[in-house]
Amino acid sequence: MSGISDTERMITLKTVEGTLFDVKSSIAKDLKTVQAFIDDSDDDVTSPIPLPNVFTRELSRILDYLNNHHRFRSGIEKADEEMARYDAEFAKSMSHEELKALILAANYLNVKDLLEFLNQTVADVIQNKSVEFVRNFFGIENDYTPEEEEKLRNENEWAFNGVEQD
Amino acid sequence: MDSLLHNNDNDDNHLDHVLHDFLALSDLPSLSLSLSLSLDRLVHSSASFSEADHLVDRAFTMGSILLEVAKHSYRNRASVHNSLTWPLPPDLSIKVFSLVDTSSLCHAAATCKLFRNWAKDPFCYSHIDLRTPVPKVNDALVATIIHRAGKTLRSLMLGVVPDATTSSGSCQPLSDTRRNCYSCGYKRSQKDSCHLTRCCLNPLNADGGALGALLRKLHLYNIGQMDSSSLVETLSVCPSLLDLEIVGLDVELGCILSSVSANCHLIERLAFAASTTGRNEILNIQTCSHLVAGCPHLTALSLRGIRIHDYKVRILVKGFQKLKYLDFSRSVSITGSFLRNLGNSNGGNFLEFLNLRDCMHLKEMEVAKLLTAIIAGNFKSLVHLDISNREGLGLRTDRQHTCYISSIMPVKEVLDTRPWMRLMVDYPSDRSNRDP
Repeated sequence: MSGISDTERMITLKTVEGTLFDVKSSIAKDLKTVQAFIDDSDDDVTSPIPLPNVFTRELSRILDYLNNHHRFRSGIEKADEEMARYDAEFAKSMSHEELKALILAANYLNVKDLLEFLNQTVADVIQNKSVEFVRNFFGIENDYTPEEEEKLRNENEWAFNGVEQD
Repeated sequence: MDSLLHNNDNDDNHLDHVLHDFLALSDLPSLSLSLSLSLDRLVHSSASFSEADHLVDRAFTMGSILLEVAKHSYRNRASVHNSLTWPLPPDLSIKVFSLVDTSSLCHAAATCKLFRNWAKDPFCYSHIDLRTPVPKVNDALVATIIHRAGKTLRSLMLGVVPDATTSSGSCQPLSDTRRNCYSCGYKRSQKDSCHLTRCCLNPLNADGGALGALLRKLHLYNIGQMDSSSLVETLSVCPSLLDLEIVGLDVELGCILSSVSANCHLIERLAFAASTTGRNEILNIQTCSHLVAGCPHLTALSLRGIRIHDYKVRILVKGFQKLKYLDFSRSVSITGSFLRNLGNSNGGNFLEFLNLRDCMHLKEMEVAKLLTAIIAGNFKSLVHLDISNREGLGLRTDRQHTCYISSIMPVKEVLDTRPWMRLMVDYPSDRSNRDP
């Protein structure tokens, strides 16, 4: 460990399927769960760290995201626009199922920035959409009685008038 | 006692078996016919007429009870399904809910019980967004939602915004006629009261301003009935305010700025877009000095569509040490001379964004001097400059000589020196002589 700077250290992560990922320790810092594991280990972490709740597809996406963001942050001035564009593409490229899986993985690994971004993505889905749309998108079922639903709509009448049904 | 319980167990078992067998009947071919024939046989073999009636009544009763029971069971299962399907834990879900506007929150709550429970958490309401494209929100609703936020209240956005998804930076005040239609609501019945009055911010003032003290952000749009004294009263109980935006309100800017100077010392962003009737107010110089003294942390100042002279603007730009964002678009009397010898240690050197779009009295000469200063290295942080003008620059009194993009404005040279800069120079298409 002595003599090697932090950014050069590589950490190995193992997904559920057994795939190994080599990650720079500077990136690993953003995976707070992993970082906590490293901090808790007295010895050097040489063997792969197992991630029993994370699949290859999700870890790959998360590392993609983190790598790109690190690149943007250390880059030139116009990074903000590029980052926003990358984020938008990133969100669009995923199906609802994939989004769900990614959120679970990001939550488990405690990746703060990505989680915030995913929260906002989910919020964007809910924003300005009809009740039916939100139900369909997230696969949620209506568990209200007709009376309960009517009561809810009446209590918040102002919100339910004039919204486009999509 | 034991035997009683034992009996109940037996009863339950028995009922379960009967129900199970009954439900298994649904596998029968021609179920409807079979059941009908079966019931007929029972009726015919009844001892009396009333017994037969009784039988049929029971069929109705059991039928409707079974229907209700099945629906209830379905709903319970739907609830379980929802809690398994939704990927986010409660704390993250509530966080997501806090990011959507209040209207969307109501829709979310109406999708299922899981969401409704989370939508009751005060944290969802810490950033209240009650902006609507047409008047829909009244004082009572504002009070209810603020009450739901309670101690988590951090920001409040309120009013009529024609396209509610516009970012606040580009929001324009509604034209006068439309606003007046909305504010003359006296013909509407009580039930239809869907307008905000001057009292809509009262919940913030209550209890010595307990809730106002928590507020960091306040944005108000096109609230026809809001007046200066009500707004000032609220500002006086909002010492933590960081971000204030006022668009299309019939209030006196001087009054508001004085209140901000006196009460909101932490403020970082101040945006004001005058209603069309507010154009004639003249800010006095003391107001500007007090604002500078009272709000040292201001980084973004936007005063659109006001009347202000250069020497007062200069006081503001030189005075706010941290100023990065300045927007005086659509303002009158401002010629641009305030920019002379700025952008260096004299003041204004942190400026990143400057918008002077559609300032009617902006002089071509002053803009040219600004551009030259930029080429020389002043305003080194400036990345966005908007000097567009829908009537062109120059002397308005002499239309024929209104210059469009003339040769004294070194636009190209600026872009050569600072290729990353966004320079907006939209002028109307040229009809008279134009220098190449």
